[in-house]
Amino acid sequence: MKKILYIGLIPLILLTSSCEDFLDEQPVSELSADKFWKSEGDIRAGIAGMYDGFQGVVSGTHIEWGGARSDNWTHGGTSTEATDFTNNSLQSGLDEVDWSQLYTTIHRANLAIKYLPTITGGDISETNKNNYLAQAYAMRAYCYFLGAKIWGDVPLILQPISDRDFKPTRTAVDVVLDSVIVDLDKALELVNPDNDNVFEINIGGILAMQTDVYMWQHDYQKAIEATDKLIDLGRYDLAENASDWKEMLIDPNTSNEPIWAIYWLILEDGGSGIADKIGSSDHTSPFIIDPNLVVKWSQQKGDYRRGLTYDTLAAQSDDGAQDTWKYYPLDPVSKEPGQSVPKGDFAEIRPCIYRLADILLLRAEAFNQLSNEPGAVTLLNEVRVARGLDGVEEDDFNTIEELETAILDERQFELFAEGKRWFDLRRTGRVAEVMNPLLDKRAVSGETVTKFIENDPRFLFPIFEEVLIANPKLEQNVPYSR
Amino acid sequence: MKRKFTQWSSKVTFGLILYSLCFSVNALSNEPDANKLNKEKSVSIEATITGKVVSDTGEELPGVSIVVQGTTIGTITNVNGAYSIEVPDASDTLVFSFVGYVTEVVAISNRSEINVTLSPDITQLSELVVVGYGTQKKRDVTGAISSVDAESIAERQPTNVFEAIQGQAAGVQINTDTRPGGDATIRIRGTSTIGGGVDPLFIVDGVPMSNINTVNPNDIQSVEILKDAASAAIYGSRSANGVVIITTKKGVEGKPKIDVRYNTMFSTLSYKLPQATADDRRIFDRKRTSSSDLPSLNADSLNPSYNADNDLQSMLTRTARRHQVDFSVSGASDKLNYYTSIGYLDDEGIIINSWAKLIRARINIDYKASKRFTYGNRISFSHETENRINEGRVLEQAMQRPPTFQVYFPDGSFAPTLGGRRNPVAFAVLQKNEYKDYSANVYNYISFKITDDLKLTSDFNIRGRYNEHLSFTPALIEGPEGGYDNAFDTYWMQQNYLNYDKEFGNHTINAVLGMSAEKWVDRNMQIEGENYVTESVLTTNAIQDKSLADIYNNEVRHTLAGFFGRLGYNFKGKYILNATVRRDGSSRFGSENRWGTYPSASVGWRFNDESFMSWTNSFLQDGKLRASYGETGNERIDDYLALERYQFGTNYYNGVSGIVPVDVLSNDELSWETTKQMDIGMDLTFLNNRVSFVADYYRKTTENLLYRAPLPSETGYSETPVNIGTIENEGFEFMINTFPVRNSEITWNLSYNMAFNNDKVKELYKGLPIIEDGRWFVEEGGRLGNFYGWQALGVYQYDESNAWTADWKQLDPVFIEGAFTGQYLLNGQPYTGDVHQLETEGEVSGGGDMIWLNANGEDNEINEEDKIILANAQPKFTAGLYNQVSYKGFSLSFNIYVQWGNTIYNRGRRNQSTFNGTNLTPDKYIIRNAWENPGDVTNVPRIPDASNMDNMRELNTLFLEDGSFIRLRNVKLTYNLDPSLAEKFRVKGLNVYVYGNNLVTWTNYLWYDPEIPMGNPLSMGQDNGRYPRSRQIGAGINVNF
Repeated sequence: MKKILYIGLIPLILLTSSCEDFLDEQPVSELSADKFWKSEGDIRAGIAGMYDGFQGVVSGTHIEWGGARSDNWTHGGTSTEATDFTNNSLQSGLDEVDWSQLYTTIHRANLAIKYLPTITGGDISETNKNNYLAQAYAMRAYCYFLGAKIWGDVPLILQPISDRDFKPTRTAVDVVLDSVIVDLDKALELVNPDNDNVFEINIGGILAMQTDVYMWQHDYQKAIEATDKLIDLGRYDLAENASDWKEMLIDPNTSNEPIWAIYWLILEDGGSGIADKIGSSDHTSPFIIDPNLVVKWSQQKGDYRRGLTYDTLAAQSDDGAQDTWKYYPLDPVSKEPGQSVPKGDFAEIRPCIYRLADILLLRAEAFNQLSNEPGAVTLLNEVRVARGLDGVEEDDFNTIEELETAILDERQFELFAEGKRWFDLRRTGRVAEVMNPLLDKRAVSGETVTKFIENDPRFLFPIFEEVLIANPKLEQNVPYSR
Repeated sequence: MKRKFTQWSSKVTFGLILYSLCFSVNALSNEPDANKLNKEKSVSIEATITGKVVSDTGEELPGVSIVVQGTTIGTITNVNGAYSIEVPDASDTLVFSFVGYVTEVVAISNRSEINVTLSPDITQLSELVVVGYGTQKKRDVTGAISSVDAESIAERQPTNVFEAIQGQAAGVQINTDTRPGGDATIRIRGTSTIGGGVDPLFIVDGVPMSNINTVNPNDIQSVEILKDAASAAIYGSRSANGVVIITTKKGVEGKPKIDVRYNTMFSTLSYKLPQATADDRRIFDRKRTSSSDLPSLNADSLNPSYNADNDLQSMLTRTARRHQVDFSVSGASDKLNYYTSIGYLDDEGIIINSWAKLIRARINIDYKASKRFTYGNRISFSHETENRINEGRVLEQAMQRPPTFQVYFPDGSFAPTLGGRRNPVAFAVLQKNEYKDYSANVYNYISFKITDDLKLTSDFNIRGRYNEHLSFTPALIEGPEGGYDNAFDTYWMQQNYLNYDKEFGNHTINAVLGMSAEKWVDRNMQIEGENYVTESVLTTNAIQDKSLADIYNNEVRHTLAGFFGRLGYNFKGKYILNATVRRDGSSRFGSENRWGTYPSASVGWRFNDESFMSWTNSFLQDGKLRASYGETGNERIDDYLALERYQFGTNYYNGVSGIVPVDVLSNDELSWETTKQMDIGMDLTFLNNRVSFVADYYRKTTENLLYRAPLPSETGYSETPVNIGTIENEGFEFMINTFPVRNSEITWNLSYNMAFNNDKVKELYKGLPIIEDGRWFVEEGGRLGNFYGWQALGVYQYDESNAWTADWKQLDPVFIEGAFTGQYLLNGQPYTGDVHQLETEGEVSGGGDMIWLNANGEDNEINEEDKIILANAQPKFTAGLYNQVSYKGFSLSFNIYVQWGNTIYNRGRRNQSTFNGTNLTPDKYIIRNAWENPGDVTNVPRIPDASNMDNMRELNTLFLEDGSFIRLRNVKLTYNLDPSLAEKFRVKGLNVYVYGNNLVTWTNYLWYDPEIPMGNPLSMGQDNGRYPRSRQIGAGINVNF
């Protein structure tokens, strides 16, 4: 009987020894980390993943971060959350003040920055590798620049994190901006100047970011130097007429004006979230064009951008314009703006992050600040003429401030809904000046508003409450509550 | 090198344990054989005894076994209950035993005729209880095991296992889902994990199952619920939440038995919510705009779109019908035992267009090929189809949409989404959300008796589950969009084990030793897109724009291996000892921490058999004390969490499919969660077997809790799996079963069970509290299910009512003729000190705003720091009562289920009351009671035109409600046709019955039903507005041939 027992136990013992193999299961539909970052194909896919992260930022918060708090928009629809943006009553509970997607993108850029240099051998071209690495540095720089403009101090993380207990604190905004400049310099060193793909951060994109960052820091000389380099590339021209301007917004790839744009394809990415915010047939837009802007814009005679941005017939001076159709193609038959906006799920929006008009007007702003009035007016007129407007004269402006107002107005019309206006007001210190009269008006019509004060801490956004819960080391911006 | 050695050495150690177990079994097996031989030698026939055996109601009992004690000589009674047996001279005692009756031991005392009356064994002490890899006599059980038998299941007309056992076992909390095809949540002795799986392990005929909806409750012979660790530990790594063992029916020796059952049922909405009417909606608009003008929406009194008065609940619900047909054939000979069944369930839901249909079939066969060799299988198939109502789009919208919005156009077609509010009737009718599920499970075993006492069983199980889901939203409502997905899950298991059972003299030994290996491979596939070339074809070839990120197939795998053993010993049935050990390895954990060992031990002492307890013999038939301790594990987390991974397929950019890190930070040290449980119990049977009582006290401590710790999003990850902390559950449970009346005409059975459980979080990762979704707060020393938020103290009557002393006592402003005098009272006395005001989001609260408890008391700001623990989601106790009275052919039974002392967050109600959208309509109470004018006394804040004061913030006490309920779960009246009468209809048996389910529920809960799924351990007790519960009335007939 013992024998039988022994025999019975043989398979048992055999199994024990092969158990470790039996229990070693590797992912079937995913890639374990040790198999990634090996080839040029991996780099390409990893960098695409990084851009995919940034697509989430644009689709999710492009309108709220760069415009919703400015005089471009007022609240529409039935949601009271839009009101919190337009009436300066932000709260930490609003989903749109969450920075998580920004850090997801930063994390992907950090992984690329860490692993790309380790990939060697085979047929990997150094030029291509460096060009991808440049994009990772530039993307990280742009994300931190955005974060610094919105929250001020933000945690500066330049490495992929593997420590489970890591809870970062906020880094001073100046340090963050210094790091942005360092990253952009590195990107400029590494970038392949021949790359002109507008959906990737190419050399033009890096120079545009430098311009933007230096302008934010009021370092006008350096900003002008960056724009010099950008113009010297000889790559960019302003769209010259209405149809070119529209075409540039629909498909940035076909025009010489865009510098860096975000790709979008419904089949790959679904509907763009921007549509649900400002113009889709199945959502009442939470943000509608402010009636004051409608009035202001209608006084710009000959401006073809207006009819291409919103329905000028439906727009009311007291109600504003319900839907923004700037990003939607013209009716293919009539070549006129379409009569309806698409459903949110069918909105394919490829917003430019930077384009030439933006940079020329920033350059004008810099010239103006450095008292080069003729230079500024020339640039301003370059844009105005291209948009069907008459030029302005130096004599029209008595002060630097007046000319700056004209440049900012031009930027407002030109870059409407492109995530610029709020930062323009911040950069030039005009938030209270521009917004308070508007808030007064809204208050008169019975709305609850909070007015801005000089150096208002409310210029910054609150930090999202769930972010604070997950990381108790973070301090909330005053005066917002946790 | 060191790692290898330790692994190897632990293997060796375990191997040695196994071997020594085997040897001891082997050594012990010699003696009893000799013993038996000696006895048999001494046989010499001396006398013949005859007699008759009847039941306590005077019925003649055929088939009673009579054995001369200490020998193998025996016989059985004939159809008239009569017997005749020849006994050797040395013997002096006869043992009469019969299934379901108390065994009688009778001294012969030189009699030649012995008539015996057997009384039914209500405690069924002689019955076999299924434990892991074997059975035990109920009287020898040393763990805490609750059993539910086929009879009590049949009293409830259940459609699934959960309905069959709810309220029948102490310490088993079951909350059933209400939709057709719905599932349930089940918690055994509280919740003892936070991030691992919380459901118990289901073992159906020896096979682990995750979807037990495939089991037809009519096929169940018995359900055993292993509650304590000593019983469950033989299932090692998956047993920490308890084990539910389901055994399906077998044939009974004799002629084939054919059963046909049919029942039909009508259900209606059991409770209608007081929803806002058009009038209420107009009040809402008046209060919201706080102007005397009519709100713009209704300004156009001729616009049919906004001037309806719809009762959406009535439009969405109906009287639903259910049919249930079951057919089974069973029988047995000495070689073959078979049971086959097929059942069909057609279940309409009370929400229009919701339904489920279910076919379940089973074949159970055991074939005794020779004296030593048995082969058998358990084969089951099921097929379910269901159209599931989208609860968010239908129920939530039905509550939130203004009743004034039209549902139908004048031409009868559906109105579209109006003002951001979907048309719930259109969604219910037009949206397709069809599920199909096909499952097959084939279990095969061979068992070989190596000796009379030693049996080797080798089995193999294979299971395939295929399910598909088709969704489609037509153009009329948000579409056209839709898609198709399917999943094919396979599972195999192979087990080999030895059972050794031996009785010699006063000693009984049973032992088990075995191993198992299991593998799961789950594959799924999906295609989704928008724009259909035609809406009359819904397969994916009709999709025009398929979205790339929604097209994929993928696969995950998981393996588990285990070695296990049990040794049981008892002396005279008086001293009982059981010990088990299991060692399991799982692919889910880090390579260093793959293996876990789970030991257990239990002892039992039958004290009424002790001579010094003989004075109790007159009233105490059985008394046993039990104690056990064991360790069990939990490995139920997602696959591959220990590995750093990258994913792809949904991260396109500019034509390139991006590769991105998964958002879970891997942990290669991830390991088991271990639950250590101690249990002390007592089983008593007294008053002539009329009363039985079982009570247990337990304390279980779960260590190394599996938890997906949230990470700061700044790291780029959302969470990381860790083993953190300790939770303790402590509880007491008892069950009492009585027969207050039992005679030949009337049987009255009354049983009651009750369980108390309390938990405590002992230790958390670095002592840091876990705040889940900002609404649950888990801290050391606290409990799971603690709701966390703001305490609402009422609503400020006037702007001036926001006045507080420095230590935050509220002041009463003094008004004269409606004008504020500038004076305040404190407790009726004039107050002259400083007046402080509370602020929210930087704004001073005024009349109509919620008064929040300023919990931190340090500043005048109501913010995150003022959140406190408000209530708990776990019940203080659960109880079940069962009552059955039979008189002649009639039987009336009912059962009551109680869940007491828990709080529910009524989130469905809160979400319609946020005032965050102008078309979001709260219920009647909120609207009518909302503060409107200075001086209003109410607990509902004003209806604002902007949400800036956040008066309905999540989570606050206005929406925390008592979830206690007492439910009359079932009532059933059965008439059994007299067998003699039945024969005239050429049937063996026939019964007809009428029944009602959920006839009455006593509760203070304001939403549909307080019996809600328990949810994730960290976020329990939240009701998002679920499928409503129905009241059901039905009738049925059972026929046996």
